[in-house]
Amino acid sequence: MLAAFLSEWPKIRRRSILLALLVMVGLTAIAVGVTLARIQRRSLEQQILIKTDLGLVGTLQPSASLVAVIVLITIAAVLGADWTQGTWRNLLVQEPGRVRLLSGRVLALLVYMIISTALTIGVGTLVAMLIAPHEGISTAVWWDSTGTRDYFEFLGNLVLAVIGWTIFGTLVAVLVRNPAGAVGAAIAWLLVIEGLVNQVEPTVGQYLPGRILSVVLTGGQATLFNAAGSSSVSYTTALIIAGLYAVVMSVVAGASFWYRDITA
Amino acid sequence: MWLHFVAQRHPWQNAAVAQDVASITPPGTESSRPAAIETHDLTKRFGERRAVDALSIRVPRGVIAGLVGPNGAGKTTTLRMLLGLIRPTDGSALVLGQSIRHPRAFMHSVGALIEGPAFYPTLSGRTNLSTLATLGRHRDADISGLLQTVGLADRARHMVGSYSLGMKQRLGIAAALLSNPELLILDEPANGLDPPGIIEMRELMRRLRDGGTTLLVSSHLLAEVDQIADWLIVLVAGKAVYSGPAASLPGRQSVAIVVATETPEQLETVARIARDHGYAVVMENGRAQIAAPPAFAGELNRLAMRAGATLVELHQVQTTLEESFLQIIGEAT
Repeated sequence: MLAAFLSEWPKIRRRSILLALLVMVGLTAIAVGVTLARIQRRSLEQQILIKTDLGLVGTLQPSASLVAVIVLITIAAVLGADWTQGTWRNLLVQEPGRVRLLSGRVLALLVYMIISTALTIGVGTLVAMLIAPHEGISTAVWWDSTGTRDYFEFLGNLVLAVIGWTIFGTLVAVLVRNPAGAVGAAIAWLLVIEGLVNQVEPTVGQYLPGRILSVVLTGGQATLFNAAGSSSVSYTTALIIAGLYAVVMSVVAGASFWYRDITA
Repeated sequence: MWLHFVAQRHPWQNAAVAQDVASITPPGTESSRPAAIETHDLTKRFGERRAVDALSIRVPRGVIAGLVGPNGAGKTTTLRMLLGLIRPTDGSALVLGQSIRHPRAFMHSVGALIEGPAFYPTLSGRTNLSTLATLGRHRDADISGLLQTVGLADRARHMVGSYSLGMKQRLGIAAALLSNPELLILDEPANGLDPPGIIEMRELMRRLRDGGTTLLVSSHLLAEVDQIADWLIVLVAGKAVYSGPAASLPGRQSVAIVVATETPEQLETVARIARDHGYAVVMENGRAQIAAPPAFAGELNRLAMRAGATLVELHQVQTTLEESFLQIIGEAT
């Protein structure tokens, strides 16, 4: 698995994957900048929230959802492309242990995604710190003991969500075996299937993977800037269910990759 | 066991095959080491279709084995099964003495280029090789040397996306050689190569064989296979209709003696002599083609002289692999 992990890094330097990082950083910087620059036009509650210890986390949280989507798309596209390019057969000639190969590669991609996420949030934080004073927002409260704890809890939850999205993206890629199809299937699942189930049967819908990861991402608390995480499922329950999903999805992805023929 | 199997299915393969096996196999290796490849009733079904049907073949070590057959005969499916990329529906196979159900046991000694080269187009040729070497734990792989061997040293730092098909093919062969393999499996290695590239490839394969590597080469270029293969496997509709030494392929021993004389009358005399000895004769373009073994040429010359016929041309023509192949396919279908 270590060999598969190490061999993945030169591939991660590909332009298409670096582009995902640039998109994440760029969009986050823009989103944070726009949120703070237009704070005066927002509701009074939001204007108050931004000046509390949750202000920085509340500003970054919408971007975190964006990061999650980009992680999902990147993983599904990168792994799916190995079927259309036919590169799995070359890789499997060198490392015939299929589960080792897939695990090593996914682990490398996950580490890269966590680094990218940290970088993205770092840049978002920097932009927020630069713009906030110009909007008359004191950043001191963001970094008091409660604010600092909230910030790092947010980062921790984001990393957990990134792990979840990476596993979900891997499963979709392994099942669909095509980059465009994998990305399409992932988005269709989140927007169409989960959306429909949530509309028709919300009590069931809130336990679907996308919803559960949203609860994990927001720490179980929807903010005024991001209502996506609103759910009656508690953070602890969401963590347990997300863990179960992660195990089941990993097993299904691994079993499927191990069992199915490589015909591409 | 395997010879018995082939003999049962194809009575035209005789004991000479066993002698030929011994003659093309390096002394001492045949008995002491398992075959490079051995399959027993290997079968792969895709739905109702049997892509490979109870295939039983054997490739001894240290030979270049040609895997030939018409489109859809099951060549690539067979190679994929041998490499563990697809699972057999039934039957078994050993590669370097290890079951194909456990590819990790033998793949470190196998190199392969399957169904065309597949690389990351936005990485350079060198980086593609380097990632594969890391993945395969080939720490001693001489990537620069391999790139030099396949003639890509000058373009090694260029993105693979800018390579021609022939260059990608060369890179694929370099990748297959990363592990310094005991067994090299090449699927259509001459695809996209220019004539000098094909000649270089042929020489490379011979060098590897001479160095002890076993090569299994699938190709539809029969003339190419004819030039390099010591061993032949002919697949038709997923079945092996021949598996054995290339020289023993049915029809390969058929030799025609071509004769020309000073006058048409003398040619008739020669034809009559040949017919009297039980050989078929075809008169064509002022020459007589006599379906006779090479040993008959000398006797024919002597008998013709005694009969007053002066031979102005006497040579042998051996059946090409293409002709033998078509004959076998015709018999099989």
